[in-house]
Amino acid sequence: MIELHDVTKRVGTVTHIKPTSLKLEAGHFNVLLGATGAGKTSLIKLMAGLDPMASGRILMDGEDVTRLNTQKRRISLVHQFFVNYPHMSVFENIASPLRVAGLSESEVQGRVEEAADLLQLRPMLNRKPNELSGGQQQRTALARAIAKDSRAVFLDEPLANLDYKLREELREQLPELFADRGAVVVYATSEPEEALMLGGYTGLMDDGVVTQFGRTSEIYRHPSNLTSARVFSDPPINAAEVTKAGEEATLQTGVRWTLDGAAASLPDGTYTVALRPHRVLPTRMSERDVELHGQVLVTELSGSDSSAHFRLGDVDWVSLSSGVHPYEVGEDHAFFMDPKHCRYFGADGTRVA
Amino acid sequence: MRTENQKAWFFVLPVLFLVAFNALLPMMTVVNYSVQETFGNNQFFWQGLDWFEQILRSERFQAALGRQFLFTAIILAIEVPLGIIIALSMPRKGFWVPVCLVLMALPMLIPWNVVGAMWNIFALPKIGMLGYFMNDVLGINYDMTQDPLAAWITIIVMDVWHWTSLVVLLCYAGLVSIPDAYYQAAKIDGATPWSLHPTSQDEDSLDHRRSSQVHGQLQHLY
Repeated sequence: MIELHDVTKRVGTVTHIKPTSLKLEAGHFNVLLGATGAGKTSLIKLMAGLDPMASGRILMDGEDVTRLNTQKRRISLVHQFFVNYPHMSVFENIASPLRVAGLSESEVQGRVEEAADLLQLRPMLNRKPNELSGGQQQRTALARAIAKDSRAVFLDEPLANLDYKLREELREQLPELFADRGAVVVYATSEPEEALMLGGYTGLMDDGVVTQFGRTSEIYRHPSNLTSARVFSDPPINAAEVTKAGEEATLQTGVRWTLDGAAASLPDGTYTVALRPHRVLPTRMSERDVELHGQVLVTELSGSDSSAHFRLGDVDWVSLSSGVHPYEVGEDHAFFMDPKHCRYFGADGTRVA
Repeated sequence: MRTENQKAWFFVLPVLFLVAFNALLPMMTVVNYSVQETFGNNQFFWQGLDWFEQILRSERFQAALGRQFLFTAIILAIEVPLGIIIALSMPRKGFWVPVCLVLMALPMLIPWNVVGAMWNIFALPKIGMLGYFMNDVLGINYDMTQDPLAAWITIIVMDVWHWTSLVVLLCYAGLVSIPDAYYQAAKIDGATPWSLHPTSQDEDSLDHRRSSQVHGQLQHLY
């Protein structure tokens, strides 16, 4: 288990990590999800001891490692870039941390071969990293992390530089590879989809702070604030200002619908309504659906999905639907949303309903 | 196919010409003198390799040659490890990088004949700063003009001062050209900055166990 207590990082006068407290446990993936620059790598480097903290404490399995240097933290780290020692064979690369730890030759041999088998590197053990493909190089780096007896394994966007096919393949393998190893696995990614696929727990990061942490499926369905909802949505979540009066909600453009449940009992005033793109569809699905009319700005076709960006008042909305829809850029198109999927956020961004 | 064109060598000809007249041809007169004997009046007698034989058989020459090898061995034994240690402890980024580099480069910027003159005055007893400090402040009897041991120590210290920077700068250039990611990887593997990897393969098993514990960063960095 890794515990962070009010950890911060500053470089000069710039704050990279605002006070952050987290509890990351072994046995499942801990995903850090956030856009580039949100602080995922910074946080990982603090946990790895590669960068100095401005304040706070870090505990690993109950031991205070705040003042411990990287060498003594017993951790592994796999980067987005394939980092292998270029002058050593694949075998020696995987064996490197084991040799430093002073393991006997037979133990080293055994561990390296075990890791190589898991990652299908057996035939390449005698080659140099630059004779390998990108996927094989990254598998070598992963094998090094697996062979080592670590308390924590940090995977910093390890699949970002691999092609699509390899990515899917490795992503499927990863949870198996690290299962039952007893190490805390921290996985940084900028893709919401990847977090959902890896499951486990997810911490959403934005601007140097963890905005929400919890079971991945749980925080996907129940974002506690608008920032978390934004971070955990691709394409971006639709968010617009809405005025609540009595049991009625009204968008700036005059579109209105009747509120029920928790939203109905909110005090009257202005809120932000947020709705995921796949809840805004080009066809009416039920009686309750509210019609939104907007001018189509951009359309995208990704395999079996169609998305349309349309303008409603002064806000751009996105609709994501399965199937191929022939949108015309510039045309006025009707879209439909079911108010029961709407989430409401207060002025400070906290979820209220 | 690429066509071969070696005409560029003609551009080297002027340099060859200049060097020939400047250095090679004048040096030939020295070679000529080395196999002749003269008593003046521009009269020369053929002597063959006699001078060379005499020198090589001379005990004074042999002793001097031996001292030269000893001197070289001592300064290399000091300067190479010292240079590597300094290069490893120098910062790789930030304000102190240029400060360190300039300080390191300073001794090397001084022409070698000035180094001798400077240290000569510096080390003279009574007059030189070092001489005065050793004799009159610390009370250590130090006179490099009379005492061979003092002279030896002085020239070794002087050489270390003058040339360690070269080792430092060469090593430092190598170290900074290694991307940060490798240093991080080595740290994560558990390697300490000072650990060295032995290059010999024929060590006994006990030694091997210890050496694999100290195997580390430098080995990664080479």
